[in-house]
Amino acid sequence: MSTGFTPQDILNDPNFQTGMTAHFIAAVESFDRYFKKWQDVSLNKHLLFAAIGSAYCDIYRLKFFRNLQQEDVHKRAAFLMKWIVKFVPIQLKDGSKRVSAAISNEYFAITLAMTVMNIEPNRLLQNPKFKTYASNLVYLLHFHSCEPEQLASELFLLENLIRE
Amino acid sequence: MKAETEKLLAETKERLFVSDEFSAVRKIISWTPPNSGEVEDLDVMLDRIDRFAPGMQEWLDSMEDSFQ
Repeated sequence: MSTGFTPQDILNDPNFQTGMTAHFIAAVESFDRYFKKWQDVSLNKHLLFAAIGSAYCDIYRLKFFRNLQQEDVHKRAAFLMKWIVKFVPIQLKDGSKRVSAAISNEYFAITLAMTVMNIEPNRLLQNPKFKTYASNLVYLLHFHSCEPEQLASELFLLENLIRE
Repeated sequence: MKAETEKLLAETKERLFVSDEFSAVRKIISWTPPNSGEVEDLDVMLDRIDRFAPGMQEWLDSMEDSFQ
């Protein structure tokens, strides 16, 4: 018997399918455009779709249990980040030795979050604190487990770097 | 229950349900970050990606040697 909370139930919801499709296409396009120069990595779309589906399942459950009508954009971005670094949809090609390539999923998660949140990279690049902040965020994503709620707070701070 | 404990409990209840402190807590609990909204439209996101691409590439280049 269906409980209403299985991935199948959730992913069959037409509203969620619309959002998932939009985020999946946007994520693929982000990789193609932002990581154009990174010839030593490739995107596995199957894993990316699984990551976005898992993020949507988490968001659905959160909305139900906390009675949220609409999650804010920070949470949406945070759940996407969490599952991208878990599923690691960007794969290294044979022979790649770059450190950055090895942590490309963390970079990808941050760029997708910035895109979802409409945080212009040019405005962040003008802020001298951004590089240090971004390095710490990459470190956090790579070496530690972090809850999406914590990530949402981090993203709120990141957003404030350009809003002030 | 000890008289001191009952007194403390009463004070705590008063603090929680009446005082200004609780109002402040309530504000924190019900606070919602700005920029809430519906899920982004795909065309809007694709346009954003187009605009962001040079900046994102510049940022990724700048991070190349910062995580050793």
